[in-house]
Amino acid sequence: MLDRAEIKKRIQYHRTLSDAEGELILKEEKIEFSFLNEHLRKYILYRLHFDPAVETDEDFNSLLKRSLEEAMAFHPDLLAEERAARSCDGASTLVTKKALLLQSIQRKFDIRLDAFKAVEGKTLTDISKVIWEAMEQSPAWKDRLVYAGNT
Amino acid sequence: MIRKAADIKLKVLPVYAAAEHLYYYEGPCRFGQGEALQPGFDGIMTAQMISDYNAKLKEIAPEGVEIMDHILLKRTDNWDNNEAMYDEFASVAAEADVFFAMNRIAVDDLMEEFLTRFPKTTVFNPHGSFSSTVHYASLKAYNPDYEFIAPITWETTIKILRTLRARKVIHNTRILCITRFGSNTSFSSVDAFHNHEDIARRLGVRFRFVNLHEFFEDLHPALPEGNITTPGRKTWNIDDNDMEEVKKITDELINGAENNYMDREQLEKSVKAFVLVRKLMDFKDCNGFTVPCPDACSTRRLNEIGFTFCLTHSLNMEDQIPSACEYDTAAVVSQQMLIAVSGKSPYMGNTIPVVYEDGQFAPNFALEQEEIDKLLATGDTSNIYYTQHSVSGRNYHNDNKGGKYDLRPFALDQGFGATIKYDFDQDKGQVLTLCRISPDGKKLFIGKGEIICSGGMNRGNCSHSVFYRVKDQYNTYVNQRIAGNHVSLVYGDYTDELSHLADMLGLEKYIAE
Repeated sequence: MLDRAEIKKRIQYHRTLSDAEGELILKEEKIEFSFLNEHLRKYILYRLHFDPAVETDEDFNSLLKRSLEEAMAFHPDLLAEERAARSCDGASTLVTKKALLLQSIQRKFDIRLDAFKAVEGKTLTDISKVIWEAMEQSPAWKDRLVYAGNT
Repeated sequence: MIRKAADIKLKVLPVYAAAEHLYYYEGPCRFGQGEALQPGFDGIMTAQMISDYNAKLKEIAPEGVEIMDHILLKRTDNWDNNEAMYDEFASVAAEADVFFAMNRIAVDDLMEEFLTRFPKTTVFNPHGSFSSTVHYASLKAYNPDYEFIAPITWETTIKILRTLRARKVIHNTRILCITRFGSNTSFSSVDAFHNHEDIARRLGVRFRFVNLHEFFEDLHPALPEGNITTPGRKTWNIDDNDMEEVKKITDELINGAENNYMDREQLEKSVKAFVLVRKLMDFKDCNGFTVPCPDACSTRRLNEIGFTFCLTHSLNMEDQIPSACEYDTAAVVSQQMLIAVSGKSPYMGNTIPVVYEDGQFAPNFALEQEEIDKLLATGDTSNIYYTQHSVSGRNYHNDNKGGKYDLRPFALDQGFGATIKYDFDQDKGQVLTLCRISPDGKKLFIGKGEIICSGGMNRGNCSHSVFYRVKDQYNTYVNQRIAGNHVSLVYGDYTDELSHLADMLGLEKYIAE
């Protein structure tokens, strides 16, 4: 098991990289779907402590599961936020991890996702599409979206 | 239309309830930390949990159970409870047979209000919520008869859904009864249902009637002046299309038989009766059938026309349509119960213990040297039972192959009356589930056995039987006798499902141990 301080440092490092990807999206004046998809993928992968340069798995649920397994193996008490969010409804830690990640996206980009579409998204691109649709509904985003290619 | 058990679906409406916090705060109604406390998180969590439940329900839904699109009762932390929500869901609630309910925190009252506004059998999600006991206690206090079912495993949930669907099948059973004398019981099966109105009121089973002599007349092509029994009326006589069907079925029966001891012409007469029964069942919207064999026999018209109803019962049961000898309406419903819980083809017949006493088997109808030799060869003369009637089908495993069978005439002198003789020897060791509902429709016998051998394969009349071993012969007998003679059976162990069904139908259980 890694040293707790080391783990925190690693988490913070990934969080910084993830936030940087989010900032790129926020700062882009005109956004194409391909741009959103590319940087959102990195945003999510860094959040889950994967390296976007080497990661090939596109399955959202599989990535969440692997990330959770790795977190539990390194230092389970760092999953406090996921565990606390389980409330008394009988939700699993995996469910709350996914919900927390989607919530972070909602808050980062100040959008309201179609919750059912979001949780049923199978790939990272599916998630990007749900976010794109939410941006289309948002007065702050809709004029910045550029329709070029397949969205 | 004949609505077979397989056509009757249980419509399950998933009903979920969830609240959404509109502000950041912590406290006794707000758990979690960080992002989980921010507005928006609850909506995603709720969607994920509902998505998971919907997927799970679709995965576990037993045959015949249809999962409808879910509804979500929503509120915010303003504790709102909008009339529009109930208006919106009223029609979909009415379409459902059963609710499958799950709620998150802070919405117990919403769920409760929905379930009392639209009272309906409700199964609560089996895992992880304190609300199951909350609702159970509260709804039972509201109305002790409220059917709120709160299992704790998915395995039990599956059985419950299967049983609820079986109950719906029973509620939708319509029996075509051909009558000669009275319409309640025949001269042979006085242990059939005694009171049709009471059965209809308590079990939902309905009875439709056709006169026996009118039936006989319908076996001939229609006459311009109408049948003798109904002059001038248009009737359901066998026509050219029916005769094509008769020939097709006759071919199939002959081609599939290991040994055929019947003339084709004689066989066709029995098939014709079957086709006419199906035609009348279709006209009367029935999905079960019975006819009083002895009452019909003594008219001498069976002998005159040259058929018995054995083949009709065989082919009906094989097709999972309950069909009982001797006007035994209770056997029809017993078969329907077995079909509904198992999806398999039943067999039925006279059922008694084979008693071994003073070094020999006590004499009885189905026991001749051929059977005695087979039973003695097992080396165990204890706990033997048999079920006997010449109404077996061709496929009790309900697979694509079917089993070995012979065709034999019922009538020994004249060679009429087709009977299928399924060779139960090929299924030695197969577990059977036995059942019969009592004449008052209030008690259910449930038993279990294991096939030993066939009986009566080489004899005519009503000689066909299956011998099986039960755990305790006397205990089985004591529990069976409260229900009556004709026991129905299917392959496999469905005793748990029948036990659940008995509970849901309000029947007293007599389970052979």
